[in-house]
Amino acid sequence: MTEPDRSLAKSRDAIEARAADFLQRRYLMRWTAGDQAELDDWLDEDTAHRVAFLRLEAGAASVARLSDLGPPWFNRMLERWRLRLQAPFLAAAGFAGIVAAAYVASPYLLMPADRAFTTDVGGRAVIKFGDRSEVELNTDTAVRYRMTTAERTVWLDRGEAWFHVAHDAAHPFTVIAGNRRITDLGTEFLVRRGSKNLEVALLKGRAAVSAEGAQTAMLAPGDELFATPFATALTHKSQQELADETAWRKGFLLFHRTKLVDAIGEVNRYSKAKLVIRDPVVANMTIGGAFETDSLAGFLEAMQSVLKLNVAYSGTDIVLSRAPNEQKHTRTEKETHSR
Amino acid sequence: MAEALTAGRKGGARRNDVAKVDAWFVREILPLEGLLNRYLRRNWRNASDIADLRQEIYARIFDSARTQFPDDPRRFLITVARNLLIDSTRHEQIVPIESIADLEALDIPSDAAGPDRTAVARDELRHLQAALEQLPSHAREVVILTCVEDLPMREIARRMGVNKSTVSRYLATGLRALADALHRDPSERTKKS
Repeated sequence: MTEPDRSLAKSRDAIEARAADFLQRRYLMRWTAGDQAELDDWLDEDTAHRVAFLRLEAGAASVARLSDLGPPWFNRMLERWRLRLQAPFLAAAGFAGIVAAAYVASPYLLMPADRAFTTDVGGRAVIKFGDRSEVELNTDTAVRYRMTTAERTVWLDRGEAWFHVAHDAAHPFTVIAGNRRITDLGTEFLVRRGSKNLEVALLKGRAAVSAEGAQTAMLAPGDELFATPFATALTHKSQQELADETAWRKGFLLFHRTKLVDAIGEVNRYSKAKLVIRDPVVANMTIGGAFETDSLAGFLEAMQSVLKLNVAYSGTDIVLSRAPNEQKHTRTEKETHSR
Repeated sequence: MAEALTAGRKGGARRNDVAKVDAWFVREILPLEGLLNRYLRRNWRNASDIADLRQEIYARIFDSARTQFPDDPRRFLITVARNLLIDSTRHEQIVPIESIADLEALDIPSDAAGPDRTAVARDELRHLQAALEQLPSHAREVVILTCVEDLPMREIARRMGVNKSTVSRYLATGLRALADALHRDPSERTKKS
């Protein structure tokens, strides 16, 4: 058993304050590998730290479920609290290529859909509709859909999906992702929804992306729209780049001179065990090549044989670090970086 | 230091993964906080100690679950709480040990066959709503803008007309107040609503 005197009263408040500080930083600021390492160290230091953090984190996570309340109820609540979540906001968009977009609180505006479908981490699934439209879901993805004679609507609640739409002028096919609405005009496109951002890549045909109060962006083949809650940027992608982005449909991840930290972000989407990099030098290494989305082992082997990295298992984490003979160097480097 | 700790843990065979224990703790123990608070209030005269006692109980439970998960988390929670109270009582020489109630005395159904899942979910949401109602309005606003809306700090600051460090402060205090409010007894909050 632990020692009975942890000098309870004095430390508890300080511990909770520190836990809350970590949590607010993770929500509000750019959360780096260094921040994560700092948090991990702190959590490992004392079980009291860990339980305090878990407790606050669980409370915050439960708030996210408010959107499950459904529109009328939630809106009433917001009114009572005088929250102006739905006031349109015009981004100050000064630079070329950026279209100002209104941000409209979306989760509660969603109507209940008739059917839902999700894939697990590492999973993939195809939904074929009666109108010969198709949706292919990538790893850890959730959609709801309503396919009636009157409307064809798919809500992408999480993750990434490829859409092939059988065009029907009388019944537009609409994909709703957060506050963005993608209306097809006969097309094939890819939608990926992150926690904050949305990416829409058009492969064939035409599609319109709109948000309430904002200009509608028309996409042509090769166009990729990148939307944050406040702004929308349009870029043009080569056939090669688009092919890379849809490689998951064939079960591959493709990298071209990709930073390792970005690459593991992709790999982690398909795996319950999460790759972790604590060393900034390792994070900045670049890799290229094709990896199977369902074979973490293949990726790890490349890490060991090509990049000469050390692979260590720690809980559900897999830590990539430089090989042992470079460890000492790594540590001093890490310290100078994080302080 | 941290590295030594990690290495030590990895070396020690037959320990449960931290991530697994994290998930277990959030799933099995945290939802019992209301029960724990009630137990502590009933058996400990100084209400201002309760948060400290709770934290120590959680730490003991977590450490113990690293070695082995208890069969009945609810019973285990109360046992750990009871042992801690007895330890502390010995220390302070205030309350006779016999006065510490057992689980049975709390009249807790050990595992009720629950109502249907949607009803439970709705209850949880009502409960969550009630907890949010107890927060100061600025803290509530920041918590919702952050946790539900996922807005960045700059935008939250703009909407509320405060600077960014204030947003940070509101969120930190809001998250703490929320965790407390989520497990507060209905009897304690009647004065508010």
